[in-house]
Amino acid sequence: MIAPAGSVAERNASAAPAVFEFIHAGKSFITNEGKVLTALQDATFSVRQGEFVAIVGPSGCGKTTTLNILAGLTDATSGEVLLNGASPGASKLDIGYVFQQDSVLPWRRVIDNVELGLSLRKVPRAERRRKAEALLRMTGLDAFATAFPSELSGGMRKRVALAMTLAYDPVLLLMDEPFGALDAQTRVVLQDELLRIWNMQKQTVLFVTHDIAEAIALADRVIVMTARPARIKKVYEIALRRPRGAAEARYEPGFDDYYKSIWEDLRPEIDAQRQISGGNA
Amino acid sequence: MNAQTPVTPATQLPETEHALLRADRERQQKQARQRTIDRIVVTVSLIALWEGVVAAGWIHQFFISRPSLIAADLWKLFSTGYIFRHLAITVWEALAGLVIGAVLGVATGFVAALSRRVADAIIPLIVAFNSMPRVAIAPLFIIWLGFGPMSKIGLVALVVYFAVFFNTFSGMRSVDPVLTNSVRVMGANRFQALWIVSLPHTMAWVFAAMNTSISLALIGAVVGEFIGSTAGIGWIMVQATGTLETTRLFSTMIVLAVVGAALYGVINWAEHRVLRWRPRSQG
Repeated sequence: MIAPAGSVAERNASAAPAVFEFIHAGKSFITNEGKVLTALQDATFSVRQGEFVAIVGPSGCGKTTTLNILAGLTDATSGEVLLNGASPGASKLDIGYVFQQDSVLPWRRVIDNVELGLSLRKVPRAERRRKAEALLRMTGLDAFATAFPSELSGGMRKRVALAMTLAYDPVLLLMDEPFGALDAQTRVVLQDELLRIWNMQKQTVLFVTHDIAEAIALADRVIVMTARPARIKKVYEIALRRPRGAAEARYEPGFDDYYKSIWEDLRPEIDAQRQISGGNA
Repeated sequence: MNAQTPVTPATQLPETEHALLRADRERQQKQARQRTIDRIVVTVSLIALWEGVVAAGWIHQFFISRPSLIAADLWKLFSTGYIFRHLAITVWEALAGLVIGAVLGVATGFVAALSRRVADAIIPLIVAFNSMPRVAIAPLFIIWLGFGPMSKIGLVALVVYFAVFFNTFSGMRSVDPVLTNSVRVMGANRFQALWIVSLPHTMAWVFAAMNTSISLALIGAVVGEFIGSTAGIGWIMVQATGTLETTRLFSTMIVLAVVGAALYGVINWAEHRVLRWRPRSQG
């Protein structure tokens, strides 16, 4: 079920099946003021199994909408989105979603949070516990198994959220600026951990961020979005070697070049988005 | 304070931290002792002042009684066992009404929050009812349900119902959609999401309503007894008013205060047990 690890080029050539594809997909809302707002326009791209894809774009451009469509939380209003060959709402594929906001249930102890996805899948109690404990060890949370989330720091709660979503082995992992609210050091530690886990399990990851360095350090491919209505501006294949650490990736030859060209692509879009959002960014 | 926080076991702390923690604990204990002493001093002084004012003849005991007489009357009420039947009836009315009102309030609040249409239909009606002084309906309950406990239970249930309904409704409406979405993506169906997210979240709001409801329940029961009854603490008070027994009124008020505080304590204890997950500052 999991594609073998290898260099980017090898995996591209091996033509792993697409986990999901956007085909001229778009999404428009009607705002409270009664205006039509287009969050996503004419997006066409596909992501293969085991691929780590990052999306960067100006804040408020509609990146989250892309994830929400895949998660089945909202529908595309034009074009087509296929997840495992079906519409996202009808697909039986297991999806993990790490939200930008805190999504850990505050009234459950850490271990009960991690077990939630498994208990929804009717996994027997003993097996659930064993798996959750292994995950807590992997994410460095084993000392906090019986703590309530309110007793943990923001970085710790993000680890819990990650462990919660990994518990039921989702085929597709959606991450919406998961480390955006954390301090720089905690962020690098968690990026490293994510890379380590991904290297072992090779889930398909779609990772939304506004941090260009984060996108390059983590991803096989970086998709640059325009200002709203968000369209795909450019796609970069990141040919940095694997496996790599999130902090060390920044010293790899080629990193700066990626950074520079992505930044130059993004810069006018950030300005345009600020115009749209009324310059309050 | 919080023993189950597994941050750093105290045994692993270096000596200086040990000493600091000990000093801090001792300081807190000393403050607590001082607080208790201050409270006792204030209370005893007020009682002594009351006794003194009457003993000196500045105010006649007919109007404000006096603590020594009240203590004697309380002793009489309990030692003869006279009060127990009445106390039991009033507490029964308050608790039965509380449970009925709370169950109905939670159930309808939940349903109203789930269906926009139901909410739109019933909210104006409930707001209109709620803005009416609820004890004003007490005479009707006496006519419908008689002079026995049933009319008081009905009144208490009605009073409690509104408080619990509104809090349940607000609680359900304030559920963080991120939590619901997260659980849904994990594979929960609509019903499971309600059970896993909305219900525990709303419990905090229900308990907040219960804290105010417990005193409302006691008020409802006693006011109901004032209006028409054959037994209960409120009935004793009506009798005492008729015979101008100020002392009896004071002693029954004290009984009601103690019962109210005890019931409040029970609810508070239950709340802390159920809502242990909340940070201490909120509790």
